[in-house]
Amino acid sequence: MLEVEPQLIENYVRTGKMRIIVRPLFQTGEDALLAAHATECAGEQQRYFAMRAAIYADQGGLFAAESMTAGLSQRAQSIGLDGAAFDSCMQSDKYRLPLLTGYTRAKESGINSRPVFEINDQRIIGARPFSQFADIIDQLIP
Amino acid sequence: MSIIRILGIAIFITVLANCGSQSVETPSATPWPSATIPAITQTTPTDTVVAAIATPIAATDTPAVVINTDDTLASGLTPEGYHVLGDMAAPITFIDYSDFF
Repeated sequence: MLEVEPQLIENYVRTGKMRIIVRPLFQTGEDALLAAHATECAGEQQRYFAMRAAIYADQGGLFAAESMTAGLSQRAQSIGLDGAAFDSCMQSDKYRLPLLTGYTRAKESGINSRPVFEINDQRIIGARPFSQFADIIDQLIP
Repeated sequence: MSIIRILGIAIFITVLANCGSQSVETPSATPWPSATIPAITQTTPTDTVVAAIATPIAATDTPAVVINTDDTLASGLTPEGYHVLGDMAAPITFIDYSDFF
């Protein structure tokens, strides 16, 4: 999906027509939860989306790291985060419960696969090419 | 014993002797399969391989590349605490339910 997302951003977010809300899922397990926690910690330093990008850009590298936590810490430093503050946030585990709560809410609303998208009230299950998203979005633009 | 009978016996003995002396192909010193076939070597999986196996396989449509590393776009949080990229007042809301890996 995120091969499409840059096009959505350039065409609709950057032009003020659309906002993107991220609701993380953890269908792939504990590592996904840990990575999501890392993005939340980056968000404390106003770098949520930058951290998200850094993780997606080299997911294989995270598995090659000494540990997932160490790999995430390296990504945090690579985007200029305060490493000590980031590590402290990660150790606190304080976003774990809110993230899991959000995941539970998503499942309760019928999200049981990935990816899933909602454009206003229209739910789309599965990845789509940019053109299909654009067709839907263009019809919704006032 | 007639000469013919003696000759017949001699020929028979000669034939028998030749049968016993026929060359038999001896096994080659090189076993089959040949020694040129690489020996099987045992390798110890690296930690990287172990980690990859232990991780659930991601769907093929898992996002591969993201976005907005320039931080030039507005971002914030919804009242529920979800992160938002773009103008909070934008007429269209695109919700992305996805996960890493």
